[in-house]
Amino acid sequence: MARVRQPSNIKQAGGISLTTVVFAIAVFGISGYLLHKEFGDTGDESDTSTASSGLSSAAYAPAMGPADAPVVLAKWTDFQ
Amino acid sequence: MEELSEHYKDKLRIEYHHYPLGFHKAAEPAAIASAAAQNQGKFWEMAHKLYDNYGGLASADFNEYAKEIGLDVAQFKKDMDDPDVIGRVRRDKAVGDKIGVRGTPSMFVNGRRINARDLEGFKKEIDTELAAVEALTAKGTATAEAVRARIQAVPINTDPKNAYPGRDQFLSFVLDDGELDYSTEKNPPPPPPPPVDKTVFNAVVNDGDPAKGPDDALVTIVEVSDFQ
Repeated sequence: MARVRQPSNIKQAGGISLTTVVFAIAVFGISGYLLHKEFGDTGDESDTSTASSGLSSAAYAPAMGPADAPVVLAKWTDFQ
Repeated sequence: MEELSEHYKDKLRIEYHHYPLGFHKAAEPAAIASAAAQNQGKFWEMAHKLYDNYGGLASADFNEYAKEIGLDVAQFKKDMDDPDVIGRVRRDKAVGDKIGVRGTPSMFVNGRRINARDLEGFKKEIDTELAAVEALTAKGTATAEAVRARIQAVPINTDPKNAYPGRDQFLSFVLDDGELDYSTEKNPPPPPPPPVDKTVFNAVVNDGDPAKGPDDALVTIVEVSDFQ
């Protein structure tokens, strides 16, 4: 297999201190928590609520039953 | 529908799609109200209110229903005018048009139009489809692929008089959520429903007209009708 030579002008990524690694992990952890708190799991997770995804339809269709059900009954109707 | 969902549990998914008929003047505002309630996780609660009060679907009622089911009414009012909410209803309607929906309710089981109207009829259709999908999954096909295969097996009906154009539209616009022009820019929000007619008519009842009940009843219902 052919070897690829490393260009001489690329700075090597070695020499990162333990403090830097710990700090980066902490920043990612806190950011993830805040993002999850802001945007994650805000809706009703019940299957009788809005579908997050569906086998047979757009994601917005109100649905009963799991998204991976083997049979999908899709109903088009109105309220009047 | 709740009974079917309870009976089949995780083997059945029931999806609600909007198809407000044009000649039902309050149908689209009602559909938008349910979509706005869905934004707060209460589609079904609003749907029950709308079905229970189908005779009173004026815009003022929607706000009252929103309050009764515990919605943030200010947010609900805002969502009623949200182009995304209106767009969800109109996309459903447009998809319905594509797959041949012409009246309500129209139902499809894994892409097959069904005409069942009672519980046993629904169960028969669902059981048939369930057996077909399970026969495929028993051979190692993933459930999602089995469902797709069942939809792909729907015969294409080339008869232009038949309202169901066939499987391709269903696959494209329902299963695969294909692009469809339902933009609110081209479809401005609907006008508010007409106010409830509160006109009081003086219905003349002549002596000898067919009637039931005493002449001095506190309430009189006058029916003007024919036999066809």
